[in-house]
Amino acid sequence: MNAFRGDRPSTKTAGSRKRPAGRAMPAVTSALAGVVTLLTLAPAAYAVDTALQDNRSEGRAAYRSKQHGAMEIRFGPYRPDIDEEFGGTATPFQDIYGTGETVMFGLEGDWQALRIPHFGTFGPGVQASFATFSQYALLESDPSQRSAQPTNMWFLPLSALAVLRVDVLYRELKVPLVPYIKFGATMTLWEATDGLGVSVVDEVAGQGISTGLTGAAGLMIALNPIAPQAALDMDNTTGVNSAYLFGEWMVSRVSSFEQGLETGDSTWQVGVTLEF
Amino acid sequence: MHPKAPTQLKRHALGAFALGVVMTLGPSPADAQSIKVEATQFRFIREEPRSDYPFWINREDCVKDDKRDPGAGTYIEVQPNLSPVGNYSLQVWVARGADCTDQEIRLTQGSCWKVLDEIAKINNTIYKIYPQDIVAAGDEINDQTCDKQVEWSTTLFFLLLDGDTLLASTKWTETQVDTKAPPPPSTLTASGGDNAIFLNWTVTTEDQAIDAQGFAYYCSGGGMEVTGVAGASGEGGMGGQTQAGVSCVAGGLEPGAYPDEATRCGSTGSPSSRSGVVASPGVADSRVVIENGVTYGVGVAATDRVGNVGTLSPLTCAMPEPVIGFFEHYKASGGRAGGGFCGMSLGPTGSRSGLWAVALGLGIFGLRRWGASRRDARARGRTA
Repeated sequence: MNAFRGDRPSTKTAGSRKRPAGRAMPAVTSALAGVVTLLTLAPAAYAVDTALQDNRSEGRAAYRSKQHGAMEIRFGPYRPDIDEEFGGTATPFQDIYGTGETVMFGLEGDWQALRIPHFGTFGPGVQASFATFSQYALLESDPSQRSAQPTNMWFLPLSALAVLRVDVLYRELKVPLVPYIKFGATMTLWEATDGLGVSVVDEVAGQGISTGLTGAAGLMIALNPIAPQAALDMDNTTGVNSAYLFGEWMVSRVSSFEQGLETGDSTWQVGVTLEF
Repeated sequence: MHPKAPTQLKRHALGAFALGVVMTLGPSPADAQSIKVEATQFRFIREEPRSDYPFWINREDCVKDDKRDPGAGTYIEVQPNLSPVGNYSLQVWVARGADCTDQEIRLTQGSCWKVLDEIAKINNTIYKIYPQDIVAAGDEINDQTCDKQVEWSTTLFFLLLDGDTLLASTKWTETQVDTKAPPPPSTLTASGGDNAIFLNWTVTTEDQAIDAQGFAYYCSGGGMEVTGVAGASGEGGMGGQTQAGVSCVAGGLEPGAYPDEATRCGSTGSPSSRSGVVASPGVADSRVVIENGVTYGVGVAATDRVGNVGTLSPLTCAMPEPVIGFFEHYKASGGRAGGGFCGMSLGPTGSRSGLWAVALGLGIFGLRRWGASRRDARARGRTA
């Protein structure tokens, strides 16, 4: 959960140069930038025509379309770690919305820009999700009672990701499992409303944008082996090479590096992936 | 030849020429017997112009008839094209299906009623027709004239008459009478919020009018809960509102009566709405200030597309009071976030540069891939 909290004391080595809180993040993002830059220098000659590879390995003349990317529909429980901001001294989110979670729905599109032979694919992706929380406000005269006035929140996380899918097991060993990892930057738009419009306190509007980092690790289960002919037909007619069910564990720290609302969460998500 | 003969001839010739000019330029008998009313010559004058169904007469048009209530401001202006010669009269008759150009029908059957009778004047003269004359349908006008709920397709006949002889006529069919508003909600609950009242109501299926347009809310401070008042049974919900079996009374609001627009405190333009909110500030068409700690009586009336506002629902009482929403609680706890989407915090400068580096790297990567694919395509083209 705290994997990306580079500013935590536990992550510092004894000999490291002392940095102010919130300064470790640049190192992480810069490292990611380095990885991406290295990729730009990777020789394009390694790219392999997936269709050709499939035809050779399966020894049949059936048409398999080229594979360029993936699209995901996903959902899972979500509850932002807003109360972490207060270090246990206050729990405003829990006081209003309780301890439960809501369902977050999302869409993701990946460009599998690079095929690494005998390993998998790598490339950038974008993800957009949405979740809402709804409750009735507490009566100021008796906070144990709810009023009739709604107090709602919505969250719209937008992520730019680097996605690595290791499909060598599936493609070369015919084991229908594809592990993957994702890492990237997230920008979450959020808004608090009160049934009349955006909540405002002392002329401060209850809306904003939090930025941070997101990582996920998951496993996709290929559905093609269940109905190979249907999968081939789908490829021929729609260009979808493979369909998967997936489950992943996602960790995000999205608080504008402890300057904004912490909208990150550690949670699981499931969904469907289509590679095309 | 008489010495004066040439002069007389000249005079006769000039006279004949002048007569010819007068006969050529003057109105022909056909012109004198024509009358026209175009859409631009028929104007509904109201204090607040209406964009939907501007030529229709609703209950408010009837109530605000400028003839019976001078200064109320509602009447019809007509500027017909006519070229009368002689002492003709312009009459406007109204009917629901009958042909008022037929003298027998017009004068004997009672299915036509006259709303204007004036001396026909030259073009561009404005004639006024008053809504209550049309709604009354020939009956005596009284306080109940506008309260009768009717939906009529009417025809206005503009007649140019010489005595009882019809010289010319034209019809206007764009004006209909619709004073029938949808019935009010059958039940209403209200609950207090922070300087706001949240409303919920129900409408029975058979009460839903085809031309329903929405609902209007009416509020009056000083609402009071009472027991045993027949016909004024609002229902209760959560805190600060009328409880079940208890009714609400408030000055200026009477269930079942047409509401006073001075008490309007909001509206919704959706006929399928079953909830609404009354608040200050923030509601555009509210004429009532809603304050915490004051008990308000609230009623809801249905509205239709012609602009009719129906009678008030049973009243219910509610008292706005301060509440604690998430953002209030968050800021009171010392929360640091908020300020709007433009107040975006990207974090420390270092991390921001890292994010830009990621974006730049992805951009370069994409460009290289795009360039490589173009080179491949060119190579394939040369091979082919």
